[in-house]
Amino acid sequence: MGEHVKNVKMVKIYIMGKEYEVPEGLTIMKAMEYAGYRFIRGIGCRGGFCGACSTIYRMKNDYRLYTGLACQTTVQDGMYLVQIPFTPAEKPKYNVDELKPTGTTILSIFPEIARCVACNACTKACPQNLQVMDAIQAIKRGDLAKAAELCFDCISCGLCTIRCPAEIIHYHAFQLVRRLYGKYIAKKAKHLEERVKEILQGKYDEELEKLAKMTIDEWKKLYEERDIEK
Amino acid sequence: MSQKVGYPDYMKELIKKVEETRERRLEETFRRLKPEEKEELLRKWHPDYRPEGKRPLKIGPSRGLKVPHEVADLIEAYPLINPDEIDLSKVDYEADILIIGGGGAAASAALWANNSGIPAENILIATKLRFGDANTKMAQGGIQAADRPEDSPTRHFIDIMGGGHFANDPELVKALVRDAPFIIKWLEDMGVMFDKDEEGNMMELSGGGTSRRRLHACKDYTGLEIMRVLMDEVWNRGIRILEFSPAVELLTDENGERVTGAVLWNLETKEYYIARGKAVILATGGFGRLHIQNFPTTNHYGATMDGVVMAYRVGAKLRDLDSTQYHPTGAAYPEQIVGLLITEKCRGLGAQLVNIDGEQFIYPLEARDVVASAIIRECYGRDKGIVTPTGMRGVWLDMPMIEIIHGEGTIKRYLAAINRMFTRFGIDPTKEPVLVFPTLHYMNGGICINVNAQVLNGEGNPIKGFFAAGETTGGVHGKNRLMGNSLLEVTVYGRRAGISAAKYVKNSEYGKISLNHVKRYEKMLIEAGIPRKRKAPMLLPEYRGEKVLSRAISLFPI
Amino acid sequence: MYFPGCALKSTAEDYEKTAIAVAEKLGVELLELERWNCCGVVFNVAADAVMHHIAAVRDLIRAQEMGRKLNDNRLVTICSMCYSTLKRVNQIVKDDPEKLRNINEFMDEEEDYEGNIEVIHLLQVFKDLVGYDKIKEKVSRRMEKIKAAPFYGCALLRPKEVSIDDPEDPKIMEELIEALGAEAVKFPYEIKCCSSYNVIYDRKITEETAAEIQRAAERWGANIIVTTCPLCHYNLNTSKRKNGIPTIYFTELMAYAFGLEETLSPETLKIFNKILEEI
Repeated sequence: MGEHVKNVKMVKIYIMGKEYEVPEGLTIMKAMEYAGYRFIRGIGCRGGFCGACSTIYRMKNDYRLYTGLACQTTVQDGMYLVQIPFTPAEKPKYNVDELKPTGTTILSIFPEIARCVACNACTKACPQNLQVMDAIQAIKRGDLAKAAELCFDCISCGLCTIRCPAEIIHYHAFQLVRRLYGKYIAKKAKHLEERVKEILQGKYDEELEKLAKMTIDEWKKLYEERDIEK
Repeated sequence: MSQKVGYPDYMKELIKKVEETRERRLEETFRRLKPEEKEELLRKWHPDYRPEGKRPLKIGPSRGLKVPHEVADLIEAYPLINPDEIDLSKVDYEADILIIGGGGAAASAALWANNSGIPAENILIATKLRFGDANTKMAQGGIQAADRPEDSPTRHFIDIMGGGHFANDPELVKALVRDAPFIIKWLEDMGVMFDKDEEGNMMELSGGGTSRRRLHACKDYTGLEIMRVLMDEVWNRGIRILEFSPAVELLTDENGERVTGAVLWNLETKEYYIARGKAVILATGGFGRLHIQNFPTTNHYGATMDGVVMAYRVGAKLRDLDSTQYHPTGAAYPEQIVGLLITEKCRGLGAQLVNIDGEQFIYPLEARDVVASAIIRECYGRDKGIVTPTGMRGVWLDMPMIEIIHGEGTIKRYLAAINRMFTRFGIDPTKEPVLVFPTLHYMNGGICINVNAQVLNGEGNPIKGFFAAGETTGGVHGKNRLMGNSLLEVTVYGRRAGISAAKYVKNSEYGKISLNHVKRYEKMLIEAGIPRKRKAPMLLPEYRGEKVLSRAISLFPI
Repeated sequence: MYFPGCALKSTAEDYEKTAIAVAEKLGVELLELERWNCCGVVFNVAADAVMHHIAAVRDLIRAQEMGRKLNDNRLVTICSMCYSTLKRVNQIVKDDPEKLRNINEFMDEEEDYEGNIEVIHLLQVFKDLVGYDKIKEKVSRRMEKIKAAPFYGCALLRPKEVSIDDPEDPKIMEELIEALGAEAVKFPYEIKCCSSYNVIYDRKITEETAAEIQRAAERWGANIIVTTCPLCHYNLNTSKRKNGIPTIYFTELMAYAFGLEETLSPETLKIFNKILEEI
């Protein structure tokens, strides 16, 4: 990676304190691979969807602790970094069919949410830039629709959970919020229910049976004659 | 931390052309191609049609099947383990159903095996990375199901057959379209947050090659949302999961007639485990990380086709592996995200593909292989592409049109992932077009199965105790998959595999375990003169820097 | 601008509904903060409790942001506990610039709090901004059969620096009740704590205290207790005394007096109907 580009400028990064020279413009993930690391942990989709490559880093002369996904963050000169390969957090078991879609339900399974002091460390840590604290606050006041909306883009990277002084396990709580919203609060699709019923009654069986037995030329004809909805 | 780069000045200059034509193009529909025009375009420009990219397999039940060299190199390869060194007398894990893989097909299979009466503790999921690390999570645009009154499963059927160039297995397609609405209902009942209107109606969009609006989405995190709900449910039920333990070989009875387990390998401690199952479900996904013909890929780190390699050694038949899906719109700029997926939903919402002159050159919702070919032609045949600072070529996907057509805020609301991916690098897709080029996306073919997800041998008969589902299988999509049918496939056939396997184990005991089939395969490899150094499965791709690799040595004795 | 707080969004929805309705009737528009978090209840008395003041200051910043657009610096609270927490933290950071600087620096992702927000309770809005004469005009129902005992609890009156009225002998609710045409029943326990905090140690203490307050109000001739606090409301209504008199929010009493029955819950309406029947 990177070697195909000639005369590329190099930058110095510090992987767990150890200095490496890597080509400028690489993501942290590719830079670490360039430096010789072969990942088993701290890697997943390589595209910003799976939350496996949580990374924390500091820059020279800057007190802030930054967070990012290794696959979505570019290396910069003087970056001190370490990956967080795993977030220790047990996922509580529950049966969604037996739950009520209320804030109390979530607080009874995740009582630590009541300890939130609104310090906002979670929001600052989120590599997706979500309003994590506001989502927790929405749960606290029982506004599950708002909470589900705010946490929808969560990729369960665990950075908020690691930073939280109230020791809240945000991403597991968010999963429950979204399921309660999707199952109980969002309205059901009637047309879907209708179609499922039709199929169970065998409405399409005969026609599908016939279609499956056709020749290629017959399929081609049907395909070219389709009317296409805008 | 700010890392914003944005477009260099010369690209900003080129974007002005796109802006100049935008108003006119809003009214303009590029004509659809005739069948013969499509065929010519594919033949001339699609990477699949380059004869030098492929070779016929020399051995095994699908001998003669033409596959990409990268695929052949793994199929015609020696096992990682020496069968004589593996101690089969001690069994480390036992389960009624052993599921290999950790994505949408594996999770659906586990849940439906459980729904069919197999206790959670008798189901074991063994997977290479974390549970959920799979392409399922990365699917953005949606999942198809014909559930609107103006649509029907029969229309869905014809769309799929045409998209797949009529090479699909019609029985598999029939089951897929028939199950589809039920699967959506199942997901809805589990709490998947589909995009809906106020009344609860699904907001459905068109995809390339669909004749009706039929794509159900959860913003552009559809796969993530579905996968995390499936995972949550698997965890809730207490189904056993073994992470960082990929299968490196299947186990069969002495005659190799029934699959009875797998050899797993702990990636971290390097020890192997013997896992026995009354039935084995293979759900190991596709091959993006093989970088066929050097294309970048949208796929996750573990997409190395391990399942196909292992199943072939058992005697499974393969199909359609000659065809590879290149998603037309992978990111081509900036360098950091090259190859990552830009969902077809963007085109479903009205974004057009335009060249360096700001002109359209293809109807945006032709099937994927057609659009990909047109982009390659535009860049390399007509020289109308845009060249990036690192020498890559691409065409514009005119994202701001989405905001004009559907109103301000649409991208942020419904394409949150794409918006985030580009704004991280200083590009604002609500105001600027993004640069795209085809990227390796999907393994159209794979292991042959029947409608009950049973793996088929060279004679077309089911191999006992052996089931497969998802991208590792072939037949559903023929030679080209349509958008939104892979999420559907993993759930439909994952479910079918779970139900079939549950039925199978109710009347069977654990089988004997052996690696005899591997020994037999090795013999065939030697006879065919396959070079010894080729080994498979790959498990993980190699991305370490060349400088490091050239001096890396192993000093620790085992 | 008003700050609803968590209780009004969950257990005390009737309180918020009636508060907004009666305010509107009186020409006061209550605009909910666009973005807010739990106030951080309960006010923390530890000397170095900066962490526990952050939640409240963040809400004051949200009010500052929204107030700039509205050209208004008054933040109305409805729940007594939110009033207490926000008011006291506001007072502390106004009095202690060092502390405010620390908090502002900690919250480097927000704009600085400048200390200009004024936290007031809805009762003060009705008394000082609207005036009891105007309230009298809006009453559309004969209320004299209702003998309402105002119950202040602790949060609105103590400590005296943040009290909305004379902390030993408050009159603000009494005057409101009379303006509504009902009979105000002053009783000795009106400023007693409902003992909510004791729930954590022993539920019984709370239940007994609540029962005691109820009995006292009855002895002094009340047939209903009026409160401003969701916690008092909960405890007084769950004291487990059979046939004890009910406790309602002052906004519910106002809504009834103004003829806004549609904003009242069926249970509350039943309470009023029962009082009128009995007499």
